[in-house]
Amino acid sequence: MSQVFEQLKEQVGRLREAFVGRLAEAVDAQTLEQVRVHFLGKKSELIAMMKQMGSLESEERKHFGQLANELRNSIEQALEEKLNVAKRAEEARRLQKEAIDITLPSVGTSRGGRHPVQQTIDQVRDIFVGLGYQIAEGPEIEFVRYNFDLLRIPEGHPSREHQDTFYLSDDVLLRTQTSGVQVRVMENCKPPIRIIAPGKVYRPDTPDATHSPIFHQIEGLVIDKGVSMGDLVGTLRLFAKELFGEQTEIRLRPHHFPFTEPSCEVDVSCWRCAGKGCPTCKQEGFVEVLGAGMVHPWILEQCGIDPKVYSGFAFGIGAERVAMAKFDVDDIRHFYENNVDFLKQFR
Amino acid sequence: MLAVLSWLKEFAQVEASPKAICDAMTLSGSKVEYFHQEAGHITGVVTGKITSIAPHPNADRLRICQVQIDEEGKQYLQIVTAATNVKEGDVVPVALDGADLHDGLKIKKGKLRGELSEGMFCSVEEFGYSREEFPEAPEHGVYVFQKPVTLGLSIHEALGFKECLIEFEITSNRPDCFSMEGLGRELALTYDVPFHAVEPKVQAQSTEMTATHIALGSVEAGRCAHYELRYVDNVVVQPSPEWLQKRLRLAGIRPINNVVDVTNYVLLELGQPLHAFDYDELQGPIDVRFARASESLTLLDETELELKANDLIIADAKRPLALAGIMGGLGSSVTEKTKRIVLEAAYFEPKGIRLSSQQHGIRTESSSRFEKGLDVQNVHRALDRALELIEALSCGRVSSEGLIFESTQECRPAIEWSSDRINKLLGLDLPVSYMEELFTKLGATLLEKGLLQAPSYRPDLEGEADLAEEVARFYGYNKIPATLLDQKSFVRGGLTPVQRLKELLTELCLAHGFDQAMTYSFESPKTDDWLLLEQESPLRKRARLLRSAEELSVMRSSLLPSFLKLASHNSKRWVKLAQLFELSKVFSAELNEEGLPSEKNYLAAIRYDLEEEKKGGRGFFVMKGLLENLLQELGLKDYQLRAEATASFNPYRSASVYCRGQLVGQLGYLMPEVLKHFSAPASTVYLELNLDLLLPMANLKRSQKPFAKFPPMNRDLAFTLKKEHSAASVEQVIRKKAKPHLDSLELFDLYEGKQIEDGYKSMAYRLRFRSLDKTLTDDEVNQAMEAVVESLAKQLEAKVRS
Repeated sequence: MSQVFEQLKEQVGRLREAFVGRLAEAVDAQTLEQVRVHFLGKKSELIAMMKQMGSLESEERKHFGQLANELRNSIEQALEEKLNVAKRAEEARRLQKEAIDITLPSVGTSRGGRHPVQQTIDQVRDIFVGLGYQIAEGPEIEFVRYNFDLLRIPEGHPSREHQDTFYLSDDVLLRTQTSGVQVRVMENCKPPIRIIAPGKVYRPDTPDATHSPIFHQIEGLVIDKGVSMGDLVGTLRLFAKELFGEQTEIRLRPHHFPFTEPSCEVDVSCWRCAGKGCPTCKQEGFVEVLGAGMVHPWILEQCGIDPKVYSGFAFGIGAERVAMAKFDVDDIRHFYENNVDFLKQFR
Repeated sequence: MLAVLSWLKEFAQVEASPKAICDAMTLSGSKVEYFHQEAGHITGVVTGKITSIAPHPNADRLRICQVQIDEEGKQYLQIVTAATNVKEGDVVPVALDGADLHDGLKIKKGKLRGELSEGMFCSVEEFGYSREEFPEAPEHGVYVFQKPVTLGLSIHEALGFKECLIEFEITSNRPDCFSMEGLGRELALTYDVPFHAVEPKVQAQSTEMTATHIALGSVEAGRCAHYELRYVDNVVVQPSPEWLQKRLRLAGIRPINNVVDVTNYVLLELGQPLHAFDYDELQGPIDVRFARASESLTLLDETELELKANDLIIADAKRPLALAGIMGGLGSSVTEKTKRIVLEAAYFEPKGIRLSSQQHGIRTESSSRFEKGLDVQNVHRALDRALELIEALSCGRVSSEGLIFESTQECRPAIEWSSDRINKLLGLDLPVSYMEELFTKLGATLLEKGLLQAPSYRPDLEGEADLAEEVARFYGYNKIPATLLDQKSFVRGGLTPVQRLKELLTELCLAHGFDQAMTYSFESPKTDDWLLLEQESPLRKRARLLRSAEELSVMRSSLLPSFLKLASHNSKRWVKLAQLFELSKVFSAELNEEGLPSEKNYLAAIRYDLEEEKKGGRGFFVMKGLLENLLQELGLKDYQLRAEATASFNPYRSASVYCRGQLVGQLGYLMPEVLKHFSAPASTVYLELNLDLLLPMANLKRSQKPFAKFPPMNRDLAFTLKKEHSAASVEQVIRKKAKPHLDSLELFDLYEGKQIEDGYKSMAYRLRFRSLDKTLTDDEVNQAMEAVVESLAKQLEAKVRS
């Protein structure tokens, strides 16, 4: 081993120690760069040592080259690692300075709300659409024929009187029920028929907490071969469970509607107290929500549907009544005053 | 119909609690509205004997009583009373500590002027009764028992408060249930126990015949299918026995005298109204005829009635006696002096009764029953029942034979039925014997196989479906097994395309921050003037309601007034910002192809912001944003806003919306006068779209086209120009010259005021250039910009600001 080689080797060792010392002191990108220049720059000791390599024997030169490269690589690697750490720290400090107050208000428009009565109608609609029903519509200004005559509501029936019906002429009125849509559908479509018909209806009631001259009904109609009252019960039970919850039971009470026979009123077990009795159900355990029945054979016949072949059921739901119950609304007039402070509660 | 439970039980012996009976009746079709025990709200009152009375040391008007409240003499109370009508040894009702009395009165023990009082003596008024029910009670003061009574007995026992009253809701198809007998029949069927019908037996011990005393003249058969009179002499008018009075009172009818009470009793029991005439006030034959011009009648309640030619009346040779089936006349009514009566029973046509009842505004127990349609075959029996009671009460001697007019009745057709079809309709599987037995119990007559005759008192039984209902009712609606429709006949559910589009628009309005409203469809006819509509405006062609209150008498022809009311209502309730919308109908007197007044579908939206600055017109642009998104949702990008003066709108701050050359809506601020009429805020902006025009234009088809992948280049351009040049005209110039690589154009600054010459404005646009197939060079963009600047200067005299 030549003396030069020994000196250089020793110098490499010193350099390594010196670097470790300087590296420990360097904390940011700038000082790390100074360290890099010092140890690896053009004027660095290492470069100067490399220049002396020419005076070495080939064996020694090879050996020293290895030592020098190792030193350079380890310096570069150590510097890079430390530089990355420093950069991340610097980035973190910068981000912290740019922190935002996440509790400041949001930007952009807040969403509007669907009217609670519409929400109710939509919910009912979606349940029946899922059961294969289509949505039928009819005019709000209607012939007496569709609203009364073809529904077997006899002349002289109290509901036909001026205090219960808005008339535009002797044979035209504002529909008092959506049941007329049934007849229109049966006149125009062949069975099988499965429709629901939501819409506005009108009665000359003076507005108070439970009456409104305008309100919404949802009519349902199914006509097919072999439709039974059991199907009506099954359908309404499914509907009640969907709308008011799985634990809901229904109760049918015989009633009279001129356009269905047999007819019934349908109560659902109170969704608030599960039938135990509470103010919502007036201690009854049940709340009346709809009227229903098997379509009267006379009506089928009038619409050109053979009652010996086909049968069907119909039902009608008061949307406001259900909405008031579901949303705890205490006065039906709120629905038509449209006070934004009322409406926004249903957004 | 208010029923007395003990009365119903005369027809059907049912041993069940009142609550159970009410529930069962409701579920078999006689809906119970409510029921209550007689004096059911009274608690804690017992009989007590006053054993000693001593003066109160501190009050002259009060006395201190010792009261024994048990038979054994172990329980005594001290009660301080102000009552003056009690003496030692009297037995009286005693309200104990905690007792509930009528009108919510609650009794608490305490000291009265320093002396302990452990209860209170009661009058019948404190139980909700009066001297009408208890004539032996003193006018003022504590009730004192007249007969011996056990001490410590509850007041309900002691005074006979045992009845239960049930209010039934009777549907219009069941006139038979407006009677105790009819409800009794339902009760018997509900509990499947024997039914005991009323079968009156008249002794008719008099040898006199009605015809000897009075003749029946003409009867208007078209309005009166059955008319019957029976003469009764030796009449003694006096109060009815207590049991009869009590039943009437419980059922809500005031007892008058035995004759009138008997007719009312039969009215309640069998549902058939009857009338008694004072025979000595009648002259000549009785006619059932139409009233003549200028005839008048003083009714029992002393109202003077001008009769009309379509009123059916009962008249003698001289004068009208009664408004048939509605109310009797005062002149021939039964009084205390009456010695002889003629009892009338009849069947009057419902239509005629309704007509007279309506035109004179008189409704009575009698008229309301006739209106519903009674059983013509029940008339004779009801009269017999009254005669039977008259005999039983010894209030008169019944003639041997009556006078009867009967018009021939068409026989009701028999009903064809099959148990198979009924089972199929109900989804049940009941044996034919079950049904046959039930129909027999209902009173039907089974004819040959598959045919039956419904009883006359059940006019509602017309066909097989009605029989099916009877089966379901008494089998139990709630026992019908739930099934779901045969899924083999599949029907596709869902919304129609138009319904889907409306749903999309609704969703969009909601997303835009608008709340959905629901408004009335009718309004006042004054609205037309308030909206400043021209006289020839089609919106004035209103569909009108007959006999409706003025403020609700015309159908709306536009949604604007409804929405102005919303703005007004909300601003008056301190709502700072309101954004509301509705998809609804408007109406016109013009008839559609069906011959009905036409209906159109509209979308309306309104917005006000009480803090909006007037100058900028921000509300307009919020609404324009909504409009643009709505149209975009419908795939309608090629729309125009035109500044056209339209009634109701502020011509300088509003626009008409055109799509494909058609006027489809309006948008803008409103005339101050219009706002004033509705008291809506100044910042109110309104948007209205005709959906019947718009929705058919909708194009929901979207398809992919090439889109840019190369980098864009931005250029900002600021310039001043005269105010009157619209943004649209500026943009038109820019777009034309910046083609073909202009990717987007955005106004980022608009300024008027300081540093800008009066009448001028400063606008700053950012132009973004981009090519579909290459990276643009500076030169290409610069050339385009030069062309833009030159054109702006030339066409709009715009000066570019550096």
